[in-house]
Parts: sequence; structure tokens; C-alpha cells
Amino acid sequence: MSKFEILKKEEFVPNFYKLDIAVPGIAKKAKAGQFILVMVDKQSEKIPLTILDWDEEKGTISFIVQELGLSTSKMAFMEEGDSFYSIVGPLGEPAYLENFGTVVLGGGCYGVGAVFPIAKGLKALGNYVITIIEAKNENLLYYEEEYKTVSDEVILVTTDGSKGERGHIYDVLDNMIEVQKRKIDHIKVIGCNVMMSKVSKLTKEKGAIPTYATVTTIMVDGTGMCGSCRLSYDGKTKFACVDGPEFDAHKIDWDELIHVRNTSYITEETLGLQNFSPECRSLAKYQERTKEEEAS
Amino acid sequence: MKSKERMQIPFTDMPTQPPQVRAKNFREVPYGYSEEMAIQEANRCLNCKKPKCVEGCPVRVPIPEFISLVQEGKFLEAAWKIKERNVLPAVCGRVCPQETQCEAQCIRGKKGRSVGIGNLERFVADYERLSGHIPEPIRVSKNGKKVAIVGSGPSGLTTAGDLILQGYEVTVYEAFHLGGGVLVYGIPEFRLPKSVVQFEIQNLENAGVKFVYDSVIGRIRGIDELFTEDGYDAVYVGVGAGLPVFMNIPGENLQGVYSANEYLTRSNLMKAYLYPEYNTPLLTGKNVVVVGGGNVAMDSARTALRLDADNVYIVYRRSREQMPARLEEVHHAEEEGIQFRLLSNPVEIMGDEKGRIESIRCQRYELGEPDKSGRARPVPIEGDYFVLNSDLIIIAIGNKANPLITMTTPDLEVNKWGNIVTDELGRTSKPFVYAGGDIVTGAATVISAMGAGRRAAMAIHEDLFPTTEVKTEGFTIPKETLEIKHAAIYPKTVYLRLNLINSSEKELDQVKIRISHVHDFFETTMFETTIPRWSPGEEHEFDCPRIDKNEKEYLITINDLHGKIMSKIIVAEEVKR
Repeated sequence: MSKFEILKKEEFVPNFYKLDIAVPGIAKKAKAGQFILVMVDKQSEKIPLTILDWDEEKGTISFIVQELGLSTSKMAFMEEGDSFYSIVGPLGEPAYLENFGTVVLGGGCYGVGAVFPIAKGLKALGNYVITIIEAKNENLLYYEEEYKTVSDEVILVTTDGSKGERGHIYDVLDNMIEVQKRKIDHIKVIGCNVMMSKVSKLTKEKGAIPTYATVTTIMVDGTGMCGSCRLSYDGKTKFACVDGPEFDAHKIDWDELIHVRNTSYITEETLGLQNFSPECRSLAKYQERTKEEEAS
Repeated sequence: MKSKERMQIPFTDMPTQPPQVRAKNFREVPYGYSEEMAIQEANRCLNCKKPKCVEGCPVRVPIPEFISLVQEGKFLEAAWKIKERNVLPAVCGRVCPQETQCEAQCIRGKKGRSVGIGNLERFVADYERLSGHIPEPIRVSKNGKKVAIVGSGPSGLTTAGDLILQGYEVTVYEAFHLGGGVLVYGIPEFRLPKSVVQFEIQNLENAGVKFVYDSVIGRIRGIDELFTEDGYDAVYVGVGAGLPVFMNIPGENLQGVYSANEYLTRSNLMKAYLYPEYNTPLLTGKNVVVVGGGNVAMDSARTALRLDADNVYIVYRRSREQMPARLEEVHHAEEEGIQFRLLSNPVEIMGDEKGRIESIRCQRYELGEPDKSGRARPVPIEGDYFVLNSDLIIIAIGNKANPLITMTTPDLEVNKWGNIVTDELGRTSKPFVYAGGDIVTGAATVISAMGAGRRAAMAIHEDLFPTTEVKTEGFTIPKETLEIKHAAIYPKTVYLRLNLINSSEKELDQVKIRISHVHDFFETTMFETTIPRWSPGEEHEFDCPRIDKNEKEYLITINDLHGKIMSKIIVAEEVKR
């Protein structure tokens, strides 16, 4: 078993892969809510991914990858037996878990999987766990059966209404609070920042129900060294990699995070994906420039 | 050659890439000396009887000795001479601030240029590397103790290098996928080629040091677990000061504002300057503002220039003389066309509706009364502002201590800035945990971190093989005192470290040290050496192999140049602890 080897790869819904990797050190220490930084190969950037599950005895960890940009596309091309160049973790502070009472967990996109260890942990602490998972349509919903084992209620929601309720996590939450008048003690959400910001706005208005969000940011080192993942939190600058990634959602400056911090490299990211073929890569800007220099 | 002739030789400048050319590439700026240039520069050294330069060096490189070897054309021997004290000569020759250390003390600097010690160090280290004549690493028999080193930066590498030679099993843990710490993520290729760092790490690996990458201590392992689960006998923490300081001014989180750490890490470690061949993106700018006046600011500015900027400004609060950057870096930056806006400080960053920066507003400063440090304090001028249009801003105003280790190790004492508190040899409040480098001192230099690494290695050795009881006899002589810093009997060697405390400031000539063992009134000499010049405050280490493990007592005799016995020390094996 080589270092960072893929032991199992599974595409359970289109473009979503679950990878089991051999990293005994991380498997031993991982806690719910923590993440890893992954480099596919020597040329790759480092990207953060939430740890989905871990098995201390087997020495493996699992995470979910949504094929989206360059690095995740490279991962989609990897096979069982291939190895990652670098995996660092477990990073970040573990999620804040205790016996809150009734807890609602919301997971969307990659967060559908990422919420799993948190649900497991909260259930073990004696909470009444309600899990809401959201996808665009029924073909993209996953982990329903797994959630049934760690939740008291599982609510499915799809944008087009093809399965479960129609709408988004915050619509379901709104309904629970306004119509069903259910008492909710604690909410945790993981998914895209836009979804989380809307949940945050809703729960702030509805009597400030404690809401924690695991933010998605751009990272480089994951140890507090670069400040790439900084966000404004309660008027102060915080680093998602060491202070988070879970924060009190009501104190986050969501506008800045969504529209300023996380869109920094849109152009480069698009270009990177376009270049994701050997022919294009050989046309890299730098190589051209070096040639010119040498010629002159 | 007579001193008079040596005085006639002018300073040999190191040839460099022309500024216009190098400002557009990432290749190293200076080409280095040729053999002839090196000998010519070495001949300027007067080989002082009392070499001041050595005192200016935090790791006490035997400077006159190695320069003498260069004079004779013995370049390999010169490199090995340096390596007796410094495991990273190729690095130090490039990045040490020699002008404030060894070269500042050089007697020739009083009238004209001091000897180019850094240039010569670089030359011999490169000569050795390129010659392929690398001596086989000295295989030392293991002493049975294991040491973990956290962080593979300059201090960690030095500690590792020293300990491996003393028979320790040494493992270095590194958070990144490559070793070298600030040498690979911080210092750019054009100032320190990464192949040089890689070579030094390879040498340590050859000598037996193990490197474990992708491991963040504090997360994957706590300090306590290194002892309890992995069975280490000591842990050295050399994690650096990596927690960027921001200015806390409006607009700092806008797109296009980087900490220097992020900018340089993306460019150097992740090789964003080779984007898209390497995938990590890096925003580039046509008008780049770098805030700060240290080496990191210079590195950021010069990187930006090489990534196609038209204008690069350095905005610094104080005056040019007060800039902490290495003189050569400021000089190189200036040659390349970096524009300095001194006595200025940013107050606000302005952006467009998409959150991209557009400009930065700065306030002008003037020099006022001297502050506590004696430097004239910069005082803002009321109402005097100017605006620089900018599409990239890099903040290089320093780093705070990274709390990752100290947070997860509550019994490690830290000061109010979060730096680990240690004694002079790097011992922390936690037994068998040592620390050094920027995590202790705050942001400083590569060489001072290496000095700290060396001192910690001494402390580790002293603590893991604790002091034996020492009885002394006739030890003090008038005005000059040799103080025993450490005396010990190890399973295989007898070790002694002496310091000269000298109230008359006089140096001692021809001090003879003899270690012998006494059995039934017969004295057998095991080791004898002569120190030609011993300056006040200078420490010397001695160690000699034991012949018979059953011997419990050793006699150390120190004679002065007339053969007069200065002192006799009996070291007896009786562990105190």
C-alpha cells in the first residue's frame, strides 16, 4: 500500500465521487468537522476537502469530491491504486458538538456527505437529529440510507421537486419554524456559501436560533500561515483554517466571503480547466516566455 | 604576501545578471565568483590574530581558517572547514545579512570595504556542490536516543545536522510536501535556487536524518504523543513565525490584497510563477504596492516585477536607513527599478463594485524624536495624503507566532505575543521540549535561527546525557577564568565545554587541554589539544573516546603557554539527576 493510495473509488451520483484513501495517521486523529488539504500531483494546487468518514483500524479516510474545477477533475480521472502526491490533515478545529437537544443538520452539494460525521457525533451524544439533504434533482441525491442510521428524521429536498420536498434547505427550515412551530435548539449547515448565508439570514430573523456554518474558502497551507482563507467575523479578521472552518453563522460577513474572497481566481480557474489537456498545457504561458527569452 | 600588499587589493564585486534582463526572469541574480576572483578576494583577508569576524557570526564559522584555505586554492577543504560549524553554507552565503554580522566586524571595513566573507562562503559551498566531491557522511554509532524536530526550516535543519553527528536518531516533521521551511516557501528562486536547498536536505538524509512530510504537528500528533506514542526522548520546536500580520485598515479583505506569506508561498513553494504548468493561480498586477521594508518586502516586490508588473512601489513608514532589509537586496531592488515611497503608510484600500482593488491611500510621515530603540520615530503629517493606483497589494509588515503548537500544548509557556519562552539554550518550560528560531524570537534571520538550532542541540545533548558530578581543583587563576559550561562522561566519550571569562579582556595563547584517566596513580593521556588563541567569551568543546568503560574518573589538565598548570579538573561518573 503506497502512500496516499486510493483503495476504493465510487461515483454514486453523476460527478460526485467517494474516495477511500490509506492515511493511517489522519484516520487515527480525525474528528467530525475537520478537513484535509490535497494535492493530486506535483503540479497541483492545494485544495481543502472535508473528511467524510474514517476507519482507525483499517487506517483509511474517505472524502467526497464534486467534479468542478481542475483539481477535482484530475481526481475524477484517478483510479483505484493511484496515489495522491500530498495529503495533509486533519486540519481545522473539530465541529462544536454537545447535547443541544433537537438539532437540524443541513447539507447541500458536497456538504451532503460532509454533514455525515457530524450527524453521527451528535446522535451519539443523545441529540434528536433531523437531517435535511438538498440536491438539484433526485439523480444527485445521495447518502439517504446512511443518514437514516444516524438521524431521527431525514428530509429530502430537491430544487425541481423530483424527490422529497421542492425548494431548498431554508424553505424546509422556514416551514419547520413558521408552520410546524417546531422547537429547534441548534442548526448546523455545510454546503455552498450562498445556501449557508440564506439559512443564516433566516434563522437570525426567526429568533436567532444558534446556527453554525462550515465555510468554504480558498486555502494554501491550512495552518494559519498565509491568510488566504480570511473572513470578517464579528468585525474581526479570522482564518477559516485555524479558527474554523465552523463558525457562528450569524457573525460571518457573508457578502464579503461570497462576492469578494471566493471569486478571486474565477478567471484563472476557468483557464486552468480549459488547459486541462496535454496539448494545451504544452502551450503554457511560461514556456513560451522562456523560449522567447532564450531566443533573444 | 605581506599585509601591506593585501591592503592594496580592491574588493571583488560578484558579477550579476544585468538588471533589465534579470527583472524578467527567475534565475539567480549573482553568477558567483570564478576561482581567480575568489582567490583575489580571499587575499584581502589579513588573517587577524584575533578574528573579530568570528565573533559576529551566530554559529561561529572559522572564517580566517576557511579564507586561508581559499587563498591556497584548497576550495574543497575550505568548504569542509565551514561545514564543521555550519551545515548550510550555500544558503548562508546567499541570505545572511553579512553586513551586520561577520563583515560588520571585519577590520578592513573600518577603511573601505570589508572582506566579502559571504561571497566567499557561497563560492566554496557551490564549488563543493558542483565538484561532486562530497565527503561520505560520517557514520556515528547510535547513542540510543530519539529526537523529533518540528519544522524543517533553517533552525530545524541545523539541530538535525548537529544531533545526527552525535549519534541520535533524528526525525524531522514538516507540514508541507517539501523541506526547507522559509527557504522554500519564502525566499524566491532568484535569490536562493531551490536546488541548493534540496541538495542540503539530501545531504542530511544521506547522513541518516529522516524527513516526514505532510505532517502538521499539533494536529496529526501532539507534542505529548511524540513522547508517549512515538517514544522520542526530546522534541525541538522550530516552526517559525508564520502568522501574517495585517494592517487592520479598511479594504484589506478586497480581491488583490495578499499577505506576503501567501503571495510568496503561492509563487515559490507552489510554483505559481510557472502557472499554468503548475496549477496554483496567482493574481498579477501592473501597478503593485508592497507595504513594508524588510527582506520579505523586497522579495515580494521583485517577484511582482518578474511577473510582468509595470510599476512596483515599496511603501515604508520609516526612512531608507531604517529599512531592515539586507543592503544587497535593497540595492538589487533599486537597480531593477522598484520605486520607493518612504516615510509613507497606507490608511485605506479602495475597490470597485466587484470587490477588486483599485487604489491605495497613504499618509506621509516625517521623522520625529528618537524612540526607545534609538531610532527616530516616524510621525504622521496631518492631512498629507497621496493615492497610488494599484491592482495588487502585498502586505509585508511581519509575522506573529503561529499558535498551532502552543494552543495544543497548554503546558508550554509563551509570552504575551505568543512566542515560546526559553532559556539561552532553547529549553522551554516543558521538560525535554526545546524551541528556537522565529517561534521564540519573532521574525528574524536565517542565521540567527540556525544559531538557536545549534544551541538547542547542545542543550538536548546535555539533558539527555546529564552532567556527571564534577570536582574541581585549583581552578581559578588571577584575572582569567575558565568556566566549565558542561562536563560529562557518556557511554563512549568524555565531553567538556569550557568558556573563557576574562575580566582583563585579554585572550589566552596556546592553551593546552589534556584529558587523561588515572588508574592506581598512573596517568594515561587519552586526548590532547592546543587552542592557539582563546578569546574572552569564546567557548570550546572537547570530546574524546573512552578506552575502558569501567573507568570512573578522568583528569582534565589545562596548561598555559609556558606549560604552567592552570587547572586540574576531575570528572567522576556519578549521575546527579
